[in-house]
Formats: sequence, structure tokens, C-alpha cells
Amino acid sequence: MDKTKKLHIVLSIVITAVFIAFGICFCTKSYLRLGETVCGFGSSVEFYVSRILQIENGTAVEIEITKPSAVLTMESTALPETSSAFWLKAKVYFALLVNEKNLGLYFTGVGVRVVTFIRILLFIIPILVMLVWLIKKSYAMPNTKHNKDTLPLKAVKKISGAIYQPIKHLFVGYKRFLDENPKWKTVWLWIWAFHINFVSIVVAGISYYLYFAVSFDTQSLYTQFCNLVLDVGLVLKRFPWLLTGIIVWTLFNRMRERIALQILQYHEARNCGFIKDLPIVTMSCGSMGKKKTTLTTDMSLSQTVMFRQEAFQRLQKQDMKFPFFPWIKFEKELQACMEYGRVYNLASIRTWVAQKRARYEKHGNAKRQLYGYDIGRYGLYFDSALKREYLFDVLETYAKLYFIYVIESSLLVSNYSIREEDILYDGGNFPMRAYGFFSPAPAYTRFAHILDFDILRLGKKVIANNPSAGSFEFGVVVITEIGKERANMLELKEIKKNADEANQKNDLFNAWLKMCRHSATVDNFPFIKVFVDEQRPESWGSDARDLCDILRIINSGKQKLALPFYAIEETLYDLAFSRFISMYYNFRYIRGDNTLLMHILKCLVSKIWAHNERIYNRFGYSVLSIEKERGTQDSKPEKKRYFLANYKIYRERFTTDCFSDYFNELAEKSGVGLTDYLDYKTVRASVEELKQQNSYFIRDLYGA
Amino acid sequence: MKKAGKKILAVMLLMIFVLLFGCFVYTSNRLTGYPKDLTDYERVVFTDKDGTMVAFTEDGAWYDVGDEMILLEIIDYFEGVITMERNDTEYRFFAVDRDTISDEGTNSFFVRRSGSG
Repeated sequence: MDKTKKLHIVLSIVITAVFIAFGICFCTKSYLRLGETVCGFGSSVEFYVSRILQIENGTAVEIEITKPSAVLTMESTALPETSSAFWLKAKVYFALLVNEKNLGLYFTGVGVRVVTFIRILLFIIPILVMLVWLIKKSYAMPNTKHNKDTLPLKAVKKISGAIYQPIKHLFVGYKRFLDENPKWKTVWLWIWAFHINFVSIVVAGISYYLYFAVSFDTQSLYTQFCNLVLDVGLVLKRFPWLLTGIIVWTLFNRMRERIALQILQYHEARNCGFIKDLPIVTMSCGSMGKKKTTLTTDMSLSQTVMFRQEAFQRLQKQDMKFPFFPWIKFEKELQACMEYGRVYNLASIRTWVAQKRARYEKHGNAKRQLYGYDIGRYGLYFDSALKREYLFDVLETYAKLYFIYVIESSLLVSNYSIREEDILYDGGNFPMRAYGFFSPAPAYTRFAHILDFDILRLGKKVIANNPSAGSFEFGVVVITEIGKERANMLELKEIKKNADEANQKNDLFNAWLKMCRHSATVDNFPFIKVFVDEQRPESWGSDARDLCDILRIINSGKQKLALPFYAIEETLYDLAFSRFISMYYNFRYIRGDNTLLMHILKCLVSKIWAHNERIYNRFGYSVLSIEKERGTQDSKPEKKRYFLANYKIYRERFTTDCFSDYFNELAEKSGVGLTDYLDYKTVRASVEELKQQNSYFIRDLYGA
Repeated sequence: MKKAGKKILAVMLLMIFVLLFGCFVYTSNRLTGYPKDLTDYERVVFTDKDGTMVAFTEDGAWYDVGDEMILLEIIDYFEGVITMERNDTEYRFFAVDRDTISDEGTNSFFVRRSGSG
């Protein structure tokens, strides 16, 4: 055991001892109350059992459980002891709320406080103005001492290095230790659950439930309510307002984050509904920067999840057709076949099940081929009212769906990289998949498969004997800039269909596009989708384009926030950031050194900035305005909306400059930059300058 | 501009929320300020905004019921609730604080008349 770990363990023991001592010194009432509730629990159980067994001796218990707490007295709260007095007080309270005299007294009090505040403000303002003026004056001395710290800053850094940094390191290391050893946190949570009376509240709640379940004594409800108020009040009175405020703020933050997540998940559900309505091929169009590749990527990510979910739902239905079939055994054999490479796609599953069926029909061995399934008792056929389904047909469908659901491989095949991160949890039985676009990123991640266009070609291939040819069955195909790959009729005018090499006219890509659902259909559902994008639909030949729906992005929308009640924090951020940044760059223009004040301000503002940035990255979204029309372009466009959540699509999913490496290589080889280009000498270009444009037009003018 | 408007609205809503919350707390605090016993009310006259009068004596209170003044007998005082009776009819008042009482029946507030008590 190393020294740091020993220190952390000692620290944990000390903290535990402090917590226990705190409880002994300051939370004795909580423990007395706990004793009381435990006694009450015992009598409640006795009462419950006696009533259930119809032993009439519960009178004494009734008095015990329904009376107010003897430990926590009612005098400490504003609550009256009887319910009739409570209702009277409630009546008076609401009457007082709208009573003009009461309001007058209240606003007089508010006015007095406001006046006091203004007086303090008036006193402080001249001092502040003076201070700002002095700082500005002292900082107005220009210098070029690059990255040199001023003396006060040096002193602060030295003190911080000696005191603050070691403490910070200790805390950071200790936090890591606690994360690795969560048992300490659990112990502390239990200690505090006892200290803050939480355990008593739970025990009292259960006791009263047991009592109420057999007595239906509504008159005792008020006493229980009073006891609950006393229990909670005990905690609130014990803690300082600052700590209570921090706890309330944390709970408030959690609540609004949960609301924000629900909003984002609702948007995702709407997007899924939108995608479900799309045909197999979809083309996203929009001018540069309209987020068409972002839209395509987002839809493809949602589609992969939808395919897995669809497979899972259909799997459940197949299960119900033969509810007593030992599916787990079948799954395990299928998994083994997948591991050994016996099963690697849908076609191989068909062959595998067909072999199983042939073996069964030849030998009739249900124990081996059907894992001991009792045919005599449960039968081999399922009548769906449409048809009689044979067990082996259902097994084939089940195996295919299971394969789509469990394969630990991306369903995306694309001509640019897309990252996804869904996880399959397998405890040795039925594996479960976790998708969560909005949960924190798991450690596991995977990327889309490289799209070899030959797998989509039914005719000639670029690589004549490409081993992957014909292998593609199901999944999500994503092609960006489809027009550049497939071109349109005008651009293909010179290309011949009977050429020796593969080209857009003889590779039968369009035929594949028209028939792709045949290989991907399982249980009458096509597990295939093709998403493409291009700036204008006409760039892709009409034969293929007519198959798809065109999504025109009209507007990519402004950034919005799903997190509620953030406007005030954002206002403070805007105020702090805008004020600081103008001052900071003015300072940097004048001076090159580092000063203490700027160091502190930058530290504070950067933290505020980072908080705002993280909030927008986690809960920000934009709404794309889309016009959806048929690929034939003869229909009236439908107006649609698509939600792009920042946390889903911008978490290193793809790069918008996916072809940038091509241009980087060209630019690096050229050895010339923007500053090397020639400039015009005057506002009117000279003949020589015009000729330097290498323009077709200018060349025509000068007959070159 | 829209964003600035939203921020101003948010600040205004926060101020309203704080004022309302403060009002709730202030009012509930007032309800805990009732006197420990009724000696503070002896020989004190309370009137509501219509001039209706409640005048406390040592063991009762004269109450103006419109046509006449009736003498109510105090039978109980507990946690600010003053229970009085006349001819088997119960009257309940709530002692908000030293200077204010409220009649449960009419829901009106009576304020200590200056100079009384």
C-alpha cells in the first residue's frame, strides 16, 4: 500500500469519526426520534398483524401510533395541534395574504430594506469609481514585458503554490480515491441519513402505512402530517441557511437538468417519427453551411438505434409465438456460431437454420436440435389467423432479428467517418442494449464501416473480383456529396455503358438502389436505409433521385436551450463576459505582462464562460426548417422541423470537413500561401494584372 | 432584441417571485406572533374597516353584530384561537398579533383602535 493511499484511508477514517461525533453532539434529537419511530413501527406491525389475523387487541396501539411526537414538540413550529385549528389558521393565512393592511406592512418592510440597500450602494459607488480609476491609471502604463508576472502576481502564485495547490491536489486525489472506493460514500450517506432524521421519516412512513392500511383512520392523517413537518423541520433548523441553500440549489439544478433531458428526448422521439415516415432512400439538400451533412449524420445515428429497437420488438413477438421454446439455448448456440464464423450474415443464418431443420426432420431428435423442447405438449406450429407458421420458419426469423440486435458492429456504412457508442450489456443471459444519446459518453466507442462502393454495385465493379462484392445485406448507408460520386445525365453524356471499366452507367448501382430492400427484409420489415446529401437535387441523376424523398433545408435555426430557468444565469454570464473581454483586449493592447487583477478576473470569467459553454453543449439544440418533397419534384413541399441536439450530434460524431485531407495535401505540396498571392497596385486592375487571373473570359478578350 | 426582452422578463419574473415568496413568509411569520394569553387584549377595542367593533373585557368580549352589541363569553384560548360562546352559538376569532384579530365567521380583520388598552 503506497503512502498516498494510506493517507486517504486515514483521512476517510477521520472524516467518519467527525461525522459520528457531530451526530452525538448535535443530532441527539434525531436519534431519540428514531427510537420513538422504531417503537411505533413495532406497535404498527403488531397492530397490522392483529387486524389481519382478526385478533382484536389493537386499541392501545392505535393511541401509540396516532399521537404527536413526544420528542419533537409542536411549539417549535407554526403548526397548530388540531386539524380544526389548522384549517382556521389556513383560512386566516389566505385572507391575510390579500389583506391590504398586511400587504401595506409587508411593502413598507420591503421599502425600508430597499432604502437601506440604496444608502449602502450610494456609499460604495464613489469608492468603487475611485478604485476603478486608480486601477485604470496604474494599468495605463504601456509595456512589452511579454509574459512577465508583476510582483503582486508572483507573490500570490508563490503563496498559492505553497498552500492552495497542495490542498487542491490532495482534494483531487482524494476525490479519485472516493470514486474508486464508493463504500466510504455509502457509509457517510447512511450516517447522514440517520443524522438528518431521514431514517426516522422513512420508518414513520412505513409504520403509518401499516397502521392506515388496516384502520383507514383518516382523522390521524393530520397528526402524521405534523410529525412529518417536525421531522423535516428538525433538519432545516439544524443546518445553516447557506448549506440548506446549496442543497436546494443542487436539487433545483438536478430537477431542471432532468426536465431538459426530457425535452431533448422528446425531440429525439419526434425526429424518429419523422425518419420513420421517410422512404428507404432520402436526399438532404441545402447550400453550403446549411447543416445537410449534420442532418444526414443525425438521421443515420437515430436510424441505427431504431433498427436495433425494431429488431428487439420483433424478437419479442417471435418469442411469444412459441412461449415455451428454450430460446436461451438457441441464442447461445447462435452466438457460438457467430463467434466461430459459421454465421456471419443473414444468408448464412438461413443456411444454418435450414441445416438444423433438415437434421431434425431426418432424425427427429428434439433434444439435440430443439434443446429438449416438448413438441408433444407445445406443438410445432403457431396459428396467427393468417397462416400456420412452422417452428423452423420462426427460428429463422428469430435468429436473423437476434443477429441484427446483438452484432457488436456498427450498422453504418458510409463514405465519411461517423462515431457511435451504443453498448451491449451481456451478463451471460439475454443481452440488453443501451443507446442514450444524452447520457454521459461511455468508454466504448466505434466508427462507421468504410463504404466500398463495389458492395453496392450489381453490375461491373471497380475491382473486378472484389471479395466484398454482393455482401451488403442490411444497415444504414450514408453517402455525402452523392452528386460528385454518381453525377447526373448531362455530366455522364460522354460515358459509355459498354465501356470495359466500371462506370456510373454500367455498374447497376441504381438497380441495387431499387432492389436493396430484398436482401434486408426480415419479418416483413426492411432493415435498410440510404441517406445521401448534395447541394442541389439535380446534381444526382433522375433515375436514382426519383426513388427518394428530398429534404431541403430552408433554415438551420438559432441555438436554443432546453434547460429551463437559465435566463438569469445567462444574463450574468453575458454581462461578465462582454465587460471583461473588451477590458482584457484593451489591456493586452497596452501591456504584455501579467498582472494580479487580470489574473484573478480571467480565472473567474473563464470559469463562468466554461460553465455556460458546457450548459449549451449539453442542453443546446437547434431546429432545422425543412421542406420535404418527392424525388420526382412534382409534389407540393411539406414543411417539417428537425431537432439537432448539440450533445448528440457534435460530440465528435463526424467532421464537417470530411474531405479536408485531400485539400491539405494539395496545399502543403504547393508551398504557396495567401500572403504569397500578388496584390493589385491600384483600385483599377492593369492589363498585366488582368492577364494574371488566368481567366477564360480575359483570355478570350485578349485572344490568347 | 428578442433575447434581451427574454432576459428582462426573466429578471422581472425573478423579482416577482422573490416578492411573492417574501410575502408568503412574512404572512406566515405574522401567524406565529399571537399572544401567549389574552391579558394583552383586556379592555382593548378592535374595529374592522366598516367600523364594526369587538371590545374585550376580563372574561368576555362585546361584539357588534349589526343591530345590537352582544356579550360573548370566552371559553377557550389555545394557539391564537379564541373560542367564545353565547346561547350555545360558538364564535371563533384568531389572534394574528397584538394589534390584529380575525373573525372566522365573517373572514374580516379587526385592528386595535388607537388609544385603547
